[in-house]
Amino acid sequence: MISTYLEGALITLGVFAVLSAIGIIITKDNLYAAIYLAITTGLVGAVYGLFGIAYGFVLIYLIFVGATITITIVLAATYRKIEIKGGVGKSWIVPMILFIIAIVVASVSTKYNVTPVTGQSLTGFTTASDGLLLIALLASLLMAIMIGLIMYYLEVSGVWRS
Amino acid sequence: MEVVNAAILYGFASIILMTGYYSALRANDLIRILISLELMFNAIFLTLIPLFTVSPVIAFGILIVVILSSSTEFMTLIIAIMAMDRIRRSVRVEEIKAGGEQYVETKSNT
Repeated sequence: MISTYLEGALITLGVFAVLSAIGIIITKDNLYAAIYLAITTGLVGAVYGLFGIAYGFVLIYLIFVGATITITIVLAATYRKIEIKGGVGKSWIVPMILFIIAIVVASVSTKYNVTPVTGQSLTGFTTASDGLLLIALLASLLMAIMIGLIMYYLEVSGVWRS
Repeated sequence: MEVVNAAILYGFASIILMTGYYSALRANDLIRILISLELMFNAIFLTLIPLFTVSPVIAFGILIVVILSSSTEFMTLIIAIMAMDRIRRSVRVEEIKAGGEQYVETKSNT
């Protein structure tokens, strides 16, 4: 059975996510572009919540929106200049629209249905030692790279003393 | 059971991905390129949702890898942009030349 509530909520969230993504292209101010990005990511996180993937919702909000995009907003507020559009021509939008049409047509014909995740299906991951090891290893990677980046930035800015 | 056709998710994901590509191609400062890259990762997150129906544990493992590795990547890019601003006094794309160029070191406190 196709759920009209689930489908309606998904389409609503998706439409607003796409609109705020288009806002990134339209706005000329980097700060507003970063804020539109935060809205888009928040709505994508809400789709995770809609499908019952609470862990994904929390991870996206805590790490992606809460940390990475917040820093991007601060950076965009610092370098908040009116952007003069450059790069490739506007005609590149044509192959991109063709790509979107191809993806939609290909996925509609498969008739693959997605069901919301039950609450118990992910508890095995958090209790397994392998899952915790994966999280610990990736968090260590993040820390190690951040230490290297801080040292690099101090080297570039001439403050680092060896 | 409540079900939704995956085509809706894939459709929205492809629109967001192409929006990110277009924004990156049209940008001429590094901050806008960083924002476009982060937008592209939203499309990745959306395409991962159908995998949760097949195998929630594997999909969640992939989601953790994607989120933490992308966060690391973006932190690296942010530091690179700040270093670029220190060296070139600009964050414009045109300032990026071929790699290996020498730069004049700033005054040290030592």
